[in-house]
Amino acid sequence: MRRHACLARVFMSLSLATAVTLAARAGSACGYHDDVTMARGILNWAYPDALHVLGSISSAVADRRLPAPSPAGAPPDLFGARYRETVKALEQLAKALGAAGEARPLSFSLVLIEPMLWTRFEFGEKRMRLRVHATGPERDELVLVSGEVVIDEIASGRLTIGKAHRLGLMRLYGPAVRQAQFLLAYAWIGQRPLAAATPEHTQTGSRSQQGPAPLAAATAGADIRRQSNCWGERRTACPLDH
Amino acid sequence: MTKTLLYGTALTSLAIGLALPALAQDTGTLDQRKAEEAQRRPPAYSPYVGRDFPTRPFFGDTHLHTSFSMDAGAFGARIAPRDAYRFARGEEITSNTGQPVKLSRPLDFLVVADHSDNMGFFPDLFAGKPNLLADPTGRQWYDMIQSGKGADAAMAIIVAFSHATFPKDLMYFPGTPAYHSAWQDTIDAAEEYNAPGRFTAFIGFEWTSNTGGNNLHRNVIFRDNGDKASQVEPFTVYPPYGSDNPAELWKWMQAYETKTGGNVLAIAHNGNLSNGLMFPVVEAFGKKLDSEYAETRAKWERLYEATQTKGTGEAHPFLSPNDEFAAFEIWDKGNLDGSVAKTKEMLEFEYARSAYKNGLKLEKELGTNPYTFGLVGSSDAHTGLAAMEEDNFFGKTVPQEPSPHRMMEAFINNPKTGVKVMDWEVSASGYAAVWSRENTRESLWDAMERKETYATTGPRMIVRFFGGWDFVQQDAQDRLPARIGYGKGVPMGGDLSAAPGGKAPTFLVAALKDPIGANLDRYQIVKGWLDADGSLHEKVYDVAWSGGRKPGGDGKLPPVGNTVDEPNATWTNTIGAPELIAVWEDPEFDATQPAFYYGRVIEIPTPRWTAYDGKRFGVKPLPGATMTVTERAYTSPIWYRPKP
Repeated sequence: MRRHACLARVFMSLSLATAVTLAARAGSACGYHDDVTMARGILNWAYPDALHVLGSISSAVADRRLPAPSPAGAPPDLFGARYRETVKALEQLAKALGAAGEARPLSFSLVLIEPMLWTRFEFGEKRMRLRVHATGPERDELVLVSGEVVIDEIASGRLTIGKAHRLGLMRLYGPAVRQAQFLLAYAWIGQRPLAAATPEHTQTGSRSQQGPAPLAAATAGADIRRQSNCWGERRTACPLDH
Repeated sequence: MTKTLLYGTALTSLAIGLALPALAQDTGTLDQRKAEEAQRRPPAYSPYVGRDFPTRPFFGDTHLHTSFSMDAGAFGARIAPRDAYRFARGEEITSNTGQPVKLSRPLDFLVVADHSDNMGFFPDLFAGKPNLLADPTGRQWYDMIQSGKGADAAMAIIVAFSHATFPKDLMYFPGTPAYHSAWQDTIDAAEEYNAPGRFTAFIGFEWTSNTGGNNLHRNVIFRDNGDKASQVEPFTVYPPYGSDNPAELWKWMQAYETKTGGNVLAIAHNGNLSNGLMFPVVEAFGKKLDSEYAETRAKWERLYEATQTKGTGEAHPFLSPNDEFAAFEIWDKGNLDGSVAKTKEMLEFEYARSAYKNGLKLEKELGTNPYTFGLVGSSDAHTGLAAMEEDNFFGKTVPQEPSPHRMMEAFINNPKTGVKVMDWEVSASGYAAVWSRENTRESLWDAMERKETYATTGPRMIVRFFGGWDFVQQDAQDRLPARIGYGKGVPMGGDLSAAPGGKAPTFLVAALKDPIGANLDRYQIVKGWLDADGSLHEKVYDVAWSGGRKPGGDGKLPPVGNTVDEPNATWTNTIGAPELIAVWEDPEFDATQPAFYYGRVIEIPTPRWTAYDGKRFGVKPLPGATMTVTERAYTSPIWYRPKP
């Protein structure tokens, strides 16, 4: 989980008592707003009890079933290595999902709760398209809430989607039928390490609605480097800067 | 200095007294008829017949936020007042992050003190209350949330607030039906869970003056039931409905009492993030301090929150360099939002001890001491969970509920000022202990009003503190010191005046460990006084301690030791004492000099919540993170005033 804002700052932001004060210095004092914390908090309302995933992750770490976070004092992730790892895991997951099931796959959105990173899994007629860093889900769409560390485990073949769901490490929201369909089709994924991704199916970038972009190009491009700030010490408004 | 140490006395001795009518102030109603009757009546077999003073402290939290607070809701708190009461009275519930949670023991009382500004906004927005949906912007936000754009909605809400473009019709202000509904729901929850004699659910709110990021919050607590509390709506900050000036809050409190015949009191928030504004000595809000200010503040602000999750505000090592226990859970880097860094000059006007000292001086100037407040601790948790035990700490806000990450991140981080407070610095503190005769709103509130309270940083040690002129060493050997204490003196929060000729004040002090907690290291008395030259002084006396330690040449008692195994988050009660009791006489008393005395009880070192987290989650602490804690209690003072 990334750095979160101070209570006071959020209260300052939300308190009418200080609205005028803030308005006067919004340009100078809001640079430290940590929207991730707010976005995560709102998620608990918009998708009731979505933050219970955090509790499940905590329990799993305590049970040593999930790895602990990077040790204190580890160098900051200035170059977005963690982000790239997550994108890789998402790509592997997307590929596995696209290859699974005989029925027409479901499009859905996944939010990874630590960085509040939204990803859309869009299934077209011929191929699956992954949009990392999407703005959010579509209306009435199936929404998955989970964690980076959970997706890593699924991609590594150490945890299935079904078990993640049973353990509360992945929560599903949306029409009940779609939830059931999703689990029916994909619960087994994660039984073994997921295959390498197909890069051309991945699209990254919060503003990039321009169609698929090769992962290599995206990784090398300015867009991905800009986003890598989301994983470094100085990340500010990444998920909400769309 | 005289000391008496006794060990092995029955653990109930502090909490029980014999059948003496209350002789100390405010502890009972003794009139001539009752006194004569007591004299005539032969002693009953039961030594407790007719006892009329508090026999046990009730533990609770006077400062808890739920989802009704705007900021708590924004952080994801979904626990509402009713669940907060359920948890406080001992039920197991599920935390905001889905973790089962239960207190080691029920609390006796709770004040749900949600921020009065925008109280109830978040639950209503997400519930799609008609009043919010009637406004186009409210409708838009609601639709965004429903369509999965909750994060964008959050951002839109933030921007609307910060740019003062928040639609007027959406504001939860006093006088609006929506606000009234939220306040009534707060009242209803308290009424529903208030169980006289078993659990007290107070009606209250937090008034949140925060101009410039300087924390001047106050918690307002009603003595009354909903029939009176519902006749008003809470005082807020944003004009024209409210004000950020505490003097305006006091006017509101007076108006409430006048209108309803009820009673309210205020508890000032820990002042450590006020950047020198909590305890002014010259002027406040542009107005020079005068007798009216002093009288009004002393009347309404009966208590002070000496310790909470955002640190402890009893004393600061810069102000009290000779106090080796002053550097405890200190937050002294800036104000509440980190927008202004702290300077040393601010500290004097933020901490309880210096306020007590300055109060002596102000009394001489103004005729009234504005800072005669008692002490409590409380959580200020924004989770709906008053869980402040080191091994059961559910954080200050939802992001700080137990997780492998919470030791690693920053709570305040303002790059512009360099003010940074890490999450590991958040304290698992505190609770309020109230010496009340009954567990009812009225009785507890009356005890708060007379300041018969003490603060704890979490443990539930039992602490007695009596002052008088006639305590003798033998009193410390009585197995019922309360009987002696109330009979010969005044309890914490009381006053002594006009010393009898040739006498110095004596204090009967006693403390019992938390039954499931750590042993005690020492009981100290902190004295402050104003000398004839107008100079202020303070001194900390060790008056009772464990073991056979002897003060060194510098007068300091050697440390009690440390049994904490940090990696395993364990300790043993092989050091310290389960109880401490003594009679102490002030060896440096000058009857012409006003003074205050309060008790401080220190536990032996125990694992801090960071140690428990480190073990549970297998994470290593950040360099500099504190892993042990010496829990403590602070009593309300007893003041001495010379003859006028």
